[in-house]
Amino acid sequence: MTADEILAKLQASFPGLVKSEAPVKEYPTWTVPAESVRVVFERLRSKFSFDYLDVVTATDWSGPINPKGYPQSPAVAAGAAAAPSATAKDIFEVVYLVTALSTGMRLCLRCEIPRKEGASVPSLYGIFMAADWQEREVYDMFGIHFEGHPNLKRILTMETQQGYPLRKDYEHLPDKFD
Amino acid sequence: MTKETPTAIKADQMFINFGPQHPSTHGVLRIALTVEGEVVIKGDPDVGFLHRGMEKLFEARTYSQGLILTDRLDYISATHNNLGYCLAVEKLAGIQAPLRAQYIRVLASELNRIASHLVFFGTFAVDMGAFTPFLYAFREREMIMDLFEMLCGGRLLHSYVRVGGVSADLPAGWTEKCREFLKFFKPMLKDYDTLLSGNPIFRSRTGGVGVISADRAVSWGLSGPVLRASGVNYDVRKADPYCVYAKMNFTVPLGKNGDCFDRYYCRMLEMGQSVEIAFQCLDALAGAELTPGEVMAKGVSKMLKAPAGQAYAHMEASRGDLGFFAVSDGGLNPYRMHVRGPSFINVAILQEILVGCKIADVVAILGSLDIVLGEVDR
Repeated sequence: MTADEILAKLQASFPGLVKSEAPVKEYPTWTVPAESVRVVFERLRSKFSFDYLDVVTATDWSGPINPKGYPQSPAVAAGAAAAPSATAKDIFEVVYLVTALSTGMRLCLRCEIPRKEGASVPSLYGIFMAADWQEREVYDMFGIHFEGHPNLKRILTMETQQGYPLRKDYEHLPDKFD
Repeated sequence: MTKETPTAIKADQMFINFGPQHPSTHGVLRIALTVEGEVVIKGDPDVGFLHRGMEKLFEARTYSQGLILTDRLDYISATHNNLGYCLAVEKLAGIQAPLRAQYIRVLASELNRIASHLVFFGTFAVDMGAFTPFLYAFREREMIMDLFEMLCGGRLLHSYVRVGGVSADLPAGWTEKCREFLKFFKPMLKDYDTLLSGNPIFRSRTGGVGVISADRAVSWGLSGPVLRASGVNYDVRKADPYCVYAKMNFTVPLGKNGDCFDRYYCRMLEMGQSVEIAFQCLDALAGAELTPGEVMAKGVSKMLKAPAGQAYAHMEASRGDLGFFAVSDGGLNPYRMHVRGPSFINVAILQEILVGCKIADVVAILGSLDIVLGEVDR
């Protein structure tokens, strides 16, 4: 079964699921609405044998990073503080990559959520255990909440960490280690 | 990194901080253990002590500057990280490395795989109380490091694989040295078996300990020898071939039980397969159809600008499926670079398999996962 056939079958139950306009290279890429993330993955796993969750990550699309506080080469620093790029949108994009080990088919699912405090998507904990730490990492770095995750707390940074480091507007505050 | 304190434990239980300054954690991993007598009731791995904010650092650097950061992810197998990063950037920018460079990449990454598995072999034996194998493993690893020093000047952190190819062609006399090493190394694997694999104490310390079933391994997203020891045949070199792996003739060793011994032995067998692949690469490189010196794609500028888009490339590193997710907005530096570190995902299963094992087995299980904290914490 090709990715398009699977998409057509799923679209019958989830009309919000559509093909992405700008796909990840060489991956069939779909955009899924936040409320049906968990059910779509449940269906993908049980009906279409997508049993291996490769990656959960996110992108903050609010523009180029705030270069303050980071060592940079002069060549980059010259252009980096420029106006926000044309692609800038006020959204977080949560990215899932999933594989069916038996057929070797790979999919990329994307979920766009408004970029605000307390932004959230349903957790995949329980369907894929691989989501456990990867979702915690995304929470730690972007502050995106995963509803239904039983242990959603910071994983890589310290518990005293202020703010979410991979957000584009994050500003590094000098501390005793600088 | 969160504080795990001994709050809710019963009177006959004890709370133990395993690490972060413990030699058998192979770095700075802390496991918060709750034990009852000798039996572990709860084990909570705690990571982040080596967090350097790599993914943020990538965003403030050009593509070629970002390459040297990847060396510091999994510092035991630097070439794999370089290669994974370059594959992602090349996919993003639409660059095709010359065929000769691709053979050299495969050759270098298989040599690095042997070096990395040798570190595992040595340190795992020390964890289990056998010191001698360590000396053998590091003697052989030293030879591989010498080979890398000839190739690129670096012994541990290579930065040999570059975006568009490799930094330089093989130096004069290198292929002979490499063949000499491979011929010396191949029979050594039998020595290792007599030294450690057949040792009854080692067998009873590792056999049947820390069993991971195939469906749990898949659900937890494990990869590399840890996944294959559970009998799941998934190797990126076969499932999604990159560079010239599709032309290589090799088998993927599989385990049956998914215990510590199978994880150990999968790696030992993998080293033998790496030798085979390395020989095939050397034969191909000696062939006339690959022009010497043609190891860099033409027109790759040092200030690379990738067109706006997203790409994901993954490869089989010595610890598993290493992936780089690269996003470009058309600028000089990556807009976003995510690293799927296999160690990070492999170590998460500890919270499940540590429950119910003995304290002494914690070291065996942790050692058999073969994690590198540079990659866990990034």
